[in-house]
Amino acid sequence: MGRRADRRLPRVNDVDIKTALRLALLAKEHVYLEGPPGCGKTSIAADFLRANTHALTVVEFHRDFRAADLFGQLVLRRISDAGSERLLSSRDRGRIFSANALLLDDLSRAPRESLVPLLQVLDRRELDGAPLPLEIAIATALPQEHAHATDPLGLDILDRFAFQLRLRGRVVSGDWVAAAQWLDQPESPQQISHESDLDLERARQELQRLPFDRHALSVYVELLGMIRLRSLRHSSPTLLSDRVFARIAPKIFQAHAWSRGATRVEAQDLRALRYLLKFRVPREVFEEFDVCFEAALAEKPGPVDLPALGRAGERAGDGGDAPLQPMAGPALCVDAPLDPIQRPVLAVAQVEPLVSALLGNRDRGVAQPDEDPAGQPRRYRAMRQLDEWPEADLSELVRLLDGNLPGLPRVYRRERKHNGGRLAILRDVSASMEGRLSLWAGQVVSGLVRVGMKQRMRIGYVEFNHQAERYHLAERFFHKGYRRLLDQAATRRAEGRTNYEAPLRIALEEFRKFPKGSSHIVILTDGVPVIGDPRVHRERALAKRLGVRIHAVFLGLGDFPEILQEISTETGGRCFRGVPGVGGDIAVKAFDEMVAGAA
Amino acid sequence: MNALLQNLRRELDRFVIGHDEVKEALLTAVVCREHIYLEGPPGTAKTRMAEIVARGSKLKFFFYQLHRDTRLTELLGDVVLERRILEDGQGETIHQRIEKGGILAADVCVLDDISRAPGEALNVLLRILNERSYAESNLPLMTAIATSNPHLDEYYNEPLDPACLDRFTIQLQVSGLIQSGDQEAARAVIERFASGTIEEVAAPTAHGTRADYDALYDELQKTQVGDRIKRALLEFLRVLVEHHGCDETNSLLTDRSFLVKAIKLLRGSAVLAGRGRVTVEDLAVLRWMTTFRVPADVRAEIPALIARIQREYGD
Ligand SMILES: Nc1ncnc2c1ncn2[C@@H]1O[C@H](COP(=O)(O)OP(=O)(O)O)[C@@H](O)[C@H]1O
Ligand SMILES: [Mg+2]
Repeated sequence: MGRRADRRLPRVNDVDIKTALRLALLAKEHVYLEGPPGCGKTSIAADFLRANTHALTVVEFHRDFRAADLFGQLVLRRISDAGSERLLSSRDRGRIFSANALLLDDLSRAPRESLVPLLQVLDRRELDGAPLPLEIAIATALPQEHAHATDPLGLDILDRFAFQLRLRGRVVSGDWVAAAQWLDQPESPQQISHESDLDLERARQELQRLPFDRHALSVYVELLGMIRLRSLRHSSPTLLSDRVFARIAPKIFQAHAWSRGATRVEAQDLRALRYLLKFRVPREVFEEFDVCFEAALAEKPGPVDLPALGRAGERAGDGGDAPLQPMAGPALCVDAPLDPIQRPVLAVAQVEPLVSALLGNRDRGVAQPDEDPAGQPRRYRAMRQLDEWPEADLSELVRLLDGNLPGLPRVYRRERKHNGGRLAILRDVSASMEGRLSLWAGQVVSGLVRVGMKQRMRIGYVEFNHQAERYHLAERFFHKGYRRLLDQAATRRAEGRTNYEAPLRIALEEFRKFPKGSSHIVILTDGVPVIGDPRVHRERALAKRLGVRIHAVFLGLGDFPEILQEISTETGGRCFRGVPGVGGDIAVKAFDEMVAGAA
Repeated sequence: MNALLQNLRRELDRFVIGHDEVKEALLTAVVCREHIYLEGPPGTAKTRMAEIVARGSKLKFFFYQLHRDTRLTELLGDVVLERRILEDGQGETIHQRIEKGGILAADVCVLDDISRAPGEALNVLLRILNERSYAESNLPLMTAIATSNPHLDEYYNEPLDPACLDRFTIQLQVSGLIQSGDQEAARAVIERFASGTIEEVAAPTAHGTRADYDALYDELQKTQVGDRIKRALLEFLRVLVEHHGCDETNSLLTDRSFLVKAIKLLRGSAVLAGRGRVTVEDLAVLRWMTTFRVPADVRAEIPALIARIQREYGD
């Protein structure tokens, strides 16, 4: 079959991880390495850092990680003088003050509130006004689909890592050559590139002085423009920040030029840009990088190449203007579908009315409602760390100091509002849902996924016709793999006939496994069931028992089906209708309000 | 332009390319002693500019990166627990107090990523900013500069509610030079970095003491606002309310902001321009007051509206 054959096409986006790491080291920039469990992220990063830096600090993230673990812990001082005693706190100097390399292992496990200050420090390389010796940090992370326990990392967080690389396992990517190499000769630290023979400081000084050829600059500006325009065509997020693409990227091009022994930065060095793009642009655009690059070159044809000058006396034997050779080592494969079929460009439906049904009319601001003007959180929990002491219960704190409190005092509990909840999306893909209807359904799905993303909801997804197909990620039905869901929203198929019973059953069984938190089903359809129990009696009863609200979005043209109204009324859900807007995109309107409006 | 401000502007230009409007707004905020809020995507030099303003003068500054775990006490100073033996030896008193630091002691403070702060810290923080006093004593605070990412799904942040935002008299949206598709600006900034002519590590040179800024503030208060300007301001507000349907449900046109603070901004703009009198030119500052206070579609009309009023009320 054609599809299978496509998978054997050469992977144009294969890049070499060691080249990327070496450039990062030269340019003193940070790296984000994402990959499935067991693909060697941590060991590659650790080996590389051990071989090339002298003061490595490894941070193993966990749910309770606090930036203080790295910045310095709180120390309490008791000072007594005549008749009074004072308790003061200060910080000791944490590990980060002596580290010149950081391995941030499993970033996806870190709580985001500690990550923000940490990453800010990585970027500024100073803490409390003192400069840090930090040269490079490499973070490893599991892809979203494997990191279900944690919140996804936002684009703003990822932006602190100039280099963004995605690793794939040799086996799953069918890279039998690499797999065979591995079997013959397992990776050992010795194989990891040693830059130690290289005088890094000197290299960095030299590369900073490499001038840019004007042509290369023009091509770069053109290339960025193209990438930006292409990204706009997709609904997935894009972030081309000035920090990375104006301040940092030129340094990386200089490192690239220096590595190949060139005396100035030329257009070919812009290829290093691909190491920065993985999670900053939509996947489709990332895959088109080479195409864009060629196009930008063609758009800004270069001057006739002058013979390269070569760098006199330095690093003899290097290849002058020869292209940068990838180093041997594990291949870095880009996790990408390899069929070049254009995906439909998917707009995001306006789903506000649906959102208020899902969330209720709660205040979504971070500032808590007026309930507590002094802003004092009211509940308590056990103290975990000494630096929580300013919030501890005073009487217990005093008893602790006097040595007669077993354990630690209580501290105020901070509460995070509106976190989570679960949403199952059931999408009709029967034969009638073809053409525009299918496109609209996709738009509503992406609208819903974006809402879920904002609320950090776990989302389950089912496509149904006469039967129902349950999509899951790493064995979980409800998950936070939003990127994957957005991709799925763009798929279009339409075949078979409609059955409500099967998809409802699947979703309800999943809700039943953990009957907790806010639970919603949104069913997207254009027709009534012709197969299975048309009145879905058992499912309605089950939904009521579990407290799952079923909302219906009807995309068909005729009358709003009574069965959908019954189901939603009975379960406390609401009915919506898809209404095409001016541009042909769909918006969701509350059906009950439309009726009221017409009356 | 006033020499003090000229120096500060020079420091801003030394490190950050473009963003002229943001720079101007920052200077205006400092002169007027009003708080300013900058919102824009990551990596657009918001923090950098805020920091340069804070450090570019010999003022006491406080820089704080807010996060979801921010405790109010970290913003206010050091917590001290004191036990004192009672004089009659009959026991002791124990109390917890704050040794003033942080925003309680600073002239200028930078609140970076403000929308990440948890509700309980943010509420108190904003109250302090607004009242400029804490525990019965007045604060030296001149200006708070807050930055934030826009509220977007991709950043997993929460929007600040409009009432919170109203504490920041001046509000601006900052956009990236590359991301906004302005190729010329993008090229300029890339070229500067590529040629290594931006000193990244160097700290800004500090000019101007508190006394200098106090003198400037006196000057501001003496700046004259003529009747014509007052009527132009009222016309601006009238058009917003009567023609664009701004009301309590969709806008935040408070008397405090538009009848008191607006006048202050107009004067500040005149001081910046080195004039002793407000002219129609200065009306341009009104666009920084409407950024998040009127609906987005009205916001788009503001520049044209200001231009029209400037023409009508110019002498
Ligand atoms: N226009 C610009 N001129 C100079 N430097 C810039 C510019 N835009 C971004 N940068 C660089 O990017 C870095 C990141 O900016 P930062 O202030 O942290 O962004 P933000 O606070 O908007 O996320 C700055 O320190 C600066 O080096
Ligand atoms: Mg910032």
